[in-house]
Amino acid sequence: MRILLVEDDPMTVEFFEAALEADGHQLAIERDGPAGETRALAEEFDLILLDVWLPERSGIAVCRALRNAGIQTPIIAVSASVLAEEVAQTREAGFTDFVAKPVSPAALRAAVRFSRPDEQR
Amino acid sequence: MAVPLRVLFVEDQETDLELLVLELRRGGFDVAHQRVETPDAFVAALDGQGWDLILCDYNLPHFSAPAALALVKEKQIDLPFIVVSGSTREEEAVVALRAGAHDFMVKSKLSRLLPAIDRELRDAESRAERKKTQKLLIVAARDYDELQRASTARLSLMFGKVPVILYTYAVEESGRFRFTSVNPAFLMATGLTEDAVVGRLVDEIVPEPSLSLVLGKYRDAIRDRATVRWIETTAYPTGTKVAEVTITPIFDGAGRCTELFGTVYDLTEIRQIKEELRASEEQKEEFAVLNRRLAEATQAKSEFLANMSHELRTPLNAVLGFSGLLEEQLAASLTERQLRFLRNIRDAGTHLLDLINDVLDLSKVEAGKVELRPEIVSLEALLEPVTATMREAAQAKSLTLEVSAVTGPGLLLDATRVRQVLFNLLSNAVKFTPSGGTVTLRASLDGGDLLIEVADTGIGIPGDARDRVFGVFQRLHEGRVNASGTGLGLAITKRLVDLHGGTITFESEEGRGTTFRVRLPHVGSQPVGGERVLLVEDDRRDADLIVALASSHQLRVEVARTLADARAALQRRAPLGVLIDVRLPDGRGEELLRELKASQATHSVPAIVITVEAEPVAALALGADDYLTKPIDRARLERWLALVARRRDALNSDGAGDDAHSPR
Repeated sequence: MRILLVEDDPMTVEFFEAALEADGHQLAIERDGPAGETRALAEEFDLILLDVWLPERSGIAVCRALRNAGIQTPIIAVSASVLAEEVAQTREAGFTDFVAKPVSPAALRAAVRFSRPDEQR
Repeated sequence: MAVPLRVLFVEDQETDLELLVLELRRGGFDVAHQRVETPDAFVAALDGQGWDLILCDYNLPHFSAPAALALVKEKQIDLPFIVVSGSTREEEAVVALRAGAHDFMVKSKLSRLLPAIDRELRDAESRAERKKTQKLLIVAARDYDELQRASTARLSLMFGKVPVILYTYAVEESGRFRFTSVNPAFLMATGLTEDAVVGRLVDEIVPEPSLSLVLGKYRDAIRDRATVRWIETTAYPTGTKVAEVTITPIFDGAGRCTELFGTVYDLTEIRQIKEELRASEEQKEEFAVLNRRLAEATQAKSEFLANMSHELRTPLNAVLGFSGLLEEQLAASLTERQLRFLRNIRDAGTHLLDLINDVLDLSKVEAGKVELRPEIVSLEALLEPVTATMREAAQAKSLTLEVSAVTGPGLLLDATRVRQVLFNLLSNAVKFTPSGGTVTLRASLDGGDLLIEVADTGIGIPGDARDRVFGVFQRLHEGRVNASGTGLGLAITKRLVDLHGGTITFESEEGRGTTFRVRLPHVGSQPVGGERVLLVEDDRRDADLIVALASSHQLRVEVARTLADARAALQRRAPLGVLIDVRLPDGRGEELLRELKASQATHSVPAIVITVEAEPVAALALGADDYLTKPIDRARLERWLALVARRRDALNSDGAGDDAHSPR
């Protein structure tokens, strides 16, 4: 799967890369909101992993913009905040799923695997 | 017109009488008369009729005018009495008039008779009038005296009883003030006797510095001709009193001040009460400030914890993530010991995460930020996810987990939170029960209350720790390794039960085991009727969103997580509407939709499918009203919920109509 990871924390980037590349996925990395949005609009991805708390532009705003631009790609919110109201916000913004940090490598892979409509559980 | 006149004649000569009557008739009187000539007859006649006039001869054989007058006087009768004499002797006239006759005339000269009668009748009338007035005056005077006596008595009673110091001074020519009266309250306060005060000058009784003050005030009152009042602190033998003092000057007809009337009203108690009131008012304000600060602090704490939780999760993500990756990648090449080190990192990280979650949860409950989201759920569906997890944990420790639950109608409660309670109690029970033991979960309904009992055959809670069971960070088993617990589970559990309006109790015997009992009131046997929407959805987060939106339409939701649960729910009672996720753990939602539309009981129930497909042709062909793609479009969901709510209202009003027309 070609996956766009928009994440500013270098350690999380390295962890996600290691965990997902082991499953055969290819990752493109962007480290802030605007860059992630530009990349997502410019290229075709199978999945976007989008941190909610990003510098310059929040993941919520980026996701909303992408959905408004007609991007149908599954987008998973990745956040260290698990407050109910924030989870609700991500769902309204058009995220497909929500992954709470910390996440184990196995759980991360599972979330990625289930993100595609054609994948059965 | 003739004036009626009743005349009593004292006359022995019938002819003279006739003469007189003729004269009276000539004067326009309608005469009624009686003639007497003896004292006895006279007295009897007087006692009888109300006469207007007595005409009396002077000399009669057995009577006389003076004798008749004496009788009239004796009887205290006031009637015009005219003496008509046969002779003209002057001394007779003098005697008669002295004896009380009103007039005297001789029979030969009756020309004066009529004017005299006129005059005398008028005089008698005004005399009677005067007498009546006098009588009234006498009565009034008597009443007044009585009233005054009574009011004086009342005044002196008040003077004696009223708990206000009262006293009067005579103001002497020299301008000195001498006590003329004091009441018992005065004597009580000063400790003096009446004799020691009354008759003395104010200078002799009131010491300085009060004396100068009061003398000044007395002069002010006299000068201004008005009551003067002031507040005074006085040291009485019975204690220092704060009092309101008044002095009122009394003036005589000449405008000279002759008396002073003084009162002293003790304010000490009122002051004290006011003081206390002010203190309690201040205290209340202090409490309000404290409360506000506490709320602010709780809010700040809650925000701080939320931020801290966020900040801690990011590094934890690295700790757990990289240790997980290392374990995966190096599992084959590491020694058992090195692998244990890695797992220690992971376990410690997980424990830290549990702590963060629990602290956050507790602070949310304490800050009142946890809102219950009641949904309708069957007891089996409530327990199933918890027992599934706990069965594994119990097996890992070689424990037996026994579950006994009644099957019953829907419960209305926040299933997520109640499961959290169950999970906390069961994991504690598993944790503190040695291998081979038994953990028992019993759930039953008592009226509308849900009773949950979690019993174990574990180590029990030490007696001295029982007060702290629901406290925060309480380690009830000193010296015991307890790395897997956060010390917050029971504190959260208690608060969640409180939030449900329930109670939690326990009994424990060291070495024998512990039993926790939870009672959640008014959750069972909900009058569900058709009044619920069935949601068939295994994703907790989507379910939460739908339950929350439905509750804004006053729709209750029963959540079924599998096709099997959904079928059971449909069997119980037809719902108002059905939301079906297409992908379910035990099959496809379309199957359920087909069954729904095929059944007579449910074919008219509105249904909507939740899917990730762009257009679920199959579901729509099967009769779904609409579909929702994930992520769920709130507006579209709300439209459908509004439709269901309208259907409910229509059903309800129909039902009411049927009842109203029901003949029996």
